[in-house]
Formats: sequence, C-alpha cells, structure tokens
Amino acid sequence: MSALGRITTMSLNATWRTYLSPNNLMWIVGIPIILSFVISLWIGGGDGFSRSSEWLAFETPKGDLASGEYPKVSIVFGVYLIFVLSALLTRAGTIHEETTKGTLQRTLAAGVPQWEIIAAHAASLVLVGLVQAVVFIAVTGALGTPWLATGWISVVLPVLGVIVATAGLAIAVAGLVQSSGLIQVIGGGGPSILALLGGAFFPLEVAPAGVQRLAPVNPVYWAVEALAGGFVYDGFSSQATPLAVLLLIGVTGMVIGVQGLRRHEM
Amino acid sequence: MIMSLRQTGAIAVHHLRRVALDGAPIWLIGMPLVIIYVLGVTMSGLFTAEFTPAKPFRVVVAAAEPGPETSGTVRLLVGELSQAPDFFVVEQASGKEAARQAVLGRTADAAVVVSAEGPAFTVIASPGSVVADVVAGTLRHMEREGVIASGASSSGSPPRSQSPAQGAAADEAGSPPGPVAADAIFDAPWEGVGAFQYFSAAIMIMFMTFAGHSAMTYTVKDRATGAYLRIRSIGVSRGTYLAAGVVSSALVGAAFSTLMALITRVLFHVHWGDPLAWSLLTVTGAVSVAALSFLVMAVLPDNPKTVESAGSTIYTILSFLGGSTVPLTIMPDWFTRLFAWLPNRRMLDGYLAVAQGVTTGSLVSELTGIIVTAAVLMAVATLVTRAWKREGA
Repeated sequence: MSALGRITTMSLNATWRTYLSPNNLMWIVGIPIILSFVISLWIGGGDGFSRSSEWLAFETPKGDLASGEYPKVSIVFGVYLIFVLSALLTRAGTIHEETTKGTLQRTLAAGVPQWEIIAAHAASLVLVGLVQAVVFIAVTGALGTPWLATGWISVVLPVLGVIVATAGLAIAVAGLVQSSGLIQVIGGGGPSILALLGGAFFPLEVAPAGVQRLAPVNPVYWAVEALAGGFVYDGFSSQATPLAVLLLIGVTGMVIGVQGLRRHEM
Repeated sequence: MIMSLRQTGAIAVHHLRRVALDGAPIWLIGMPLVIIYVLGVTMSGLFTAEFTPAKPFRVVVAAAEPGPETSGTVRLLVGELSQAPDFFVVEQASGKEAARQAVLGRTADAAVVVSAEGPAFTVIASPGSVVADVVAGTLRHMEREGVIASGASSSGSPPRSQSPAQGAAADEAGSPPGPVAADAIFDAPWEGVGAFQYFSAAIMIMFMTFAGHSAMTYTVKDRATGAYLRIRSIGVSRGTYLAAGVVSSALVGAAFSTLMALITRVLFHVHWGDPLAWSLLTVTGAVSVAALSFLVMAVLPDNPKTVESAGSTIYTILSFLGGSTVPLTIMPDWFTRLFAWLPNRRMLDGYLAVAQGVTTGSLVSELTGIIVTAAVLMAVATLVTRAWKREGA
C-alpha cells in the first residue's frame, strides 16, 4: 500500500471511530445543535434592526434584506465555533492515548513511518471537522438558520477556514502538551474563552480596548470577520484577509505541532 | 443508627478526599477563576448603562439628494455628532452611494443618510451592531430634544449641558435607582450588579454542580471496581452507602462554593452579602445538586463514564438555562421567567439578591423552592433505585 493509501486508511479509520462513540457524537454534533436551536428560538428572525420608525430607517451595507439575517446566523456560528474548537482540540489528544495504549509503537514497529501517522492524525482532524460542519449546518439549516441567505460562499469559506485553523491549533496543542488529560481540559475551557474574546457572541465594540487589541491573535475573531465579510460586507474581497489569516494560523500550528510530536514521540 | 451515621460520615469524607486529591482542584478552581476573570472583563459593558466605546465610531453623514434642506441637516448632524468625540469621528460624504461604499469598504462603521423623501434618516450599518444602536439612539435623542425634526429640516439647537450621545445613554439608563425592596430585587436580581459579581456567582454555581457530581461518580466507580461489594460485606447497608454518596456530593459542592467565595472576594472584591443567608443558599443548593446527581446515577447503568458524561451534559445545559454561561441581562423576558424554577437559577437569583442586601427573612421562597426540588429529586431517585436496581444488578 502506498503512503497516501496508508494515510487515507488511518485517517478514515480514526474519523469513523470518533463518530462511532455515542459520547463523541453527542458532544460533537448533538449538543451544539440543541444549543443552537434553543438560542435561535429567542433570537427569532427579522433583520436585526427592530426599532425602525416612520422617520428613522435602517439598511445593511449591501442594501439588501438577505444580509439582515446576519445576527441570527452569527450567533449560531458562534456556537459552532465553540464546538469545532472543542471537538478538534479534544481529538488532538488521541495521538498521546495511542502512545499510552501502545498502538502507536505497534504501528511504528510494523514499518509505518512516523510522519505518515502524524499526517493521518492531522487529516482525521480535518475530516472530523468537515463531518461536524456538514451535519451541523444541514440540521440547524433545517431548523431555521438561514445559512445560505447571501449565497453559499458566505458560509462555506469561513467554515473551511475555521476547520483548517482549528486543525492546525489542535496539532500544535498535541505537539506542545504531552498529557491527554491536560488537552481535555484545554479543549473543554479554551474554546469558550476564545469565543468570548473573539466576539463570537457579542460585538467586540463593547469590550475594553485591551480585549480589542488582543482579538487579532484569536482565530475566532478572524472566523467571525470572514462570516461578516461574506454576509454583510463586500463578499469575497472582504473575506480574503480573514481567510488568509486563518490559513496562516492553521499552517503555523501544523508546523509547530509536527515539530513537537517528532521530538516527543520517538 | 449511630453506627450508620458514622459509616456515612467516614465514606463521605473519603469521597471528599478522593475528589481533592484527584487533580480536580486544578480545573475545578483554576478554570472557573480564569472564566470569571475573562467574562468579568469582557462583559462589563453589558452590566452598565454608562457605555463609552473603547475607540470612537467612524460615522459618515450624507444627503440622499442635493438640496438646501437636506444639506443644512447634514451640516447640523456633523456638528452635533462631533460634539461627542469619545463616541464619534464624523465625516461628510458626497452622497448616499459614497456613504454606503464607505461602510461596505469598512472605512466607516456607520453612515447616516438624510433624505427629504421617505424616512428622514437612514442608518447604514451592520445589523445587530452596537454602532447602529448608538447612532440610532443619538438621533432619537436629538429628535426628542428638538435638535432635528423628523421631516429632515433643522429646527435649531437648544442649549444643552450634555452631548447627544451622552444624552442618549442617559435616556437608556433612566433615572438613578433609590433604595429597593427585596421583592423588587427578586424581579430581576441581575440588574444593578457588576459583571464580576454576576459571573462569580454564575460560574461558581456551574462548577459547583460539576464538583458535586464528580463526588457522586465515585459511588458508581466503587461498584465497577468491586469496592462497593467489599464494603457491603463488612456490614455497611446499601442505604448507608448511597446516603454517603449524596452527603459527599453535597459536602464537595458546599466546600467548593465556600472556597470560591473566599477566593473571588480576595481576587475580584466580590461582595457576597449576609453570611447566614449565603450559607443557607449554599447548603440547600449543594443538597439539590447532590439530589439531581443521585437521580442521574439511579436512572443510568452503573458505568462511571456514562454517569460522568451524562451529568456533564445535563449540568452544561442547566447552566445555560440557568444564566451561568449567557448572562440573563441579554436574555428575553420569557426566557428568564420560563426557567426561574430551576434550582441552579434559584441559587443565582438568591446569591445576587443577597449581594444586594437581601437577608435570610426575604429568602424564604427561594430556599423553599430549592428544598422542595431537592426533596422531589431525592424521592424519585430513591424510588427508581429501589425498583430498578436490585442488589448485585
């Protein structure tokens, strides 16, 4: 079997096993969908400008009605961001669990190079993220979230950017932190903090200046910018910079993580 | 009887010791403190009526169509908005399209377009943004003050002691509160407290549920490892063992809350109010959490991982509904009323009210509600255990 074949087999197997676990299934797709649904019930529809009057009107920057759906979409997107970060960061610890269980050593002894195992691990993180995104967007869309109000590109590009950036971060965390227990803790608490500091749930304009200055180093901030760029502002030209930053975060995370894993696992 | 109590105490203290030595303090104490700090800093704007942006909003003003009337209003608006340099940096644009392009290209946060036909003022901004609300609030204030007219013609500028933006903020805030009765505080106890006060109570309750449940999980773990049967073989009754689980869960919850209250008092200067009222709330709350954990354990198979993750799921959802993760200040009225009966929500209301000066006498209904909930949960859990979980099953 070729290297590509082995990587594909290992990553598909890891993704399959992830979604076979009822506990993972519940936390990766079940709870975020339920939470999004509950939240969307009280946010309701509308264009986000509820206090128009005879002499005072509101318009979105694009001047259309569709981009007025942004507040509803952005809140559900915020829930998604927390759970994609949580899911991928938590799954990043599995490579250390494999070391503990001995399956990593057995795979290495069978002649599979270490870089293939790390590549398969990274690929499985991206696959887990993709499956989660497809299920989450499909189900919340069916429950009323207008994801495609301004076209598929407004949503698909930010989601892909988030998955790449988060997979990179997850690999970086796995490379820097050797304890799967500590990775669980980071995966449990870190995403909520990143989401709050990145403006996923409330506009950063109300945050103190220090928090606003910190936002550009936070992937959640760029994910929200990418979504707003597509939904509210100038489409792809507004999304290009946030997407480039997300890609950069992903690649940098992968490089740091791979170096860490190569140093510690051998 | 005395022997049973001694056994219950010994097992409960052992569970408490296991939780304390299991690395739990790192995430049970460290994690909530970090979350309280982050939320206290970032969400402070949601807990005060006096809002000033960290940097002024960039606003462009333009006339939809040329004319002396609209041009005059544009000049008036630019002048008025410029009086609040902490809120606005104002520029004039050549027309509606130029103003829209400025917002679309993100060189401006919002635009105000003045028109002689249709609505006199159109605010162009991202929907749901703070700048849209601030600009609209300022325009409304100016209209009420007679600075601008809803027909887009200027009506002159009466003397004022505050800028339009400050006036708009004052409109939103209303009159300053005087002494408030306990009943009024319980209507919305989150109003009038700061972000650190709110989140110290809210996050403490959330992690108290996790702490209490982690103690209960040890009871299930003992079944899985065989420790339970060994303890039973030396004469400890089943009821005593289960009671020890509930007591240890309540003890862990109460001990955790006490520790958190002390730490947040020192670190964030959080005021917790009357110690007696606080203690009663904490003890009854911890018992209600223990009762719910007991019910979770009773209805699920004796698998520690299943009980642990089911508890985490239930408490995470309860935390959301009870106002621990998303502040009740931004929740709609129906949401705050619908889930007011939840024990964790009653605890939050109680802690916030006590912090505002409510004493034990006014807490009777909250305490009764928590105790009744705990008693019902405990009774159901006991019935389920007796009916479904025969010894050795």
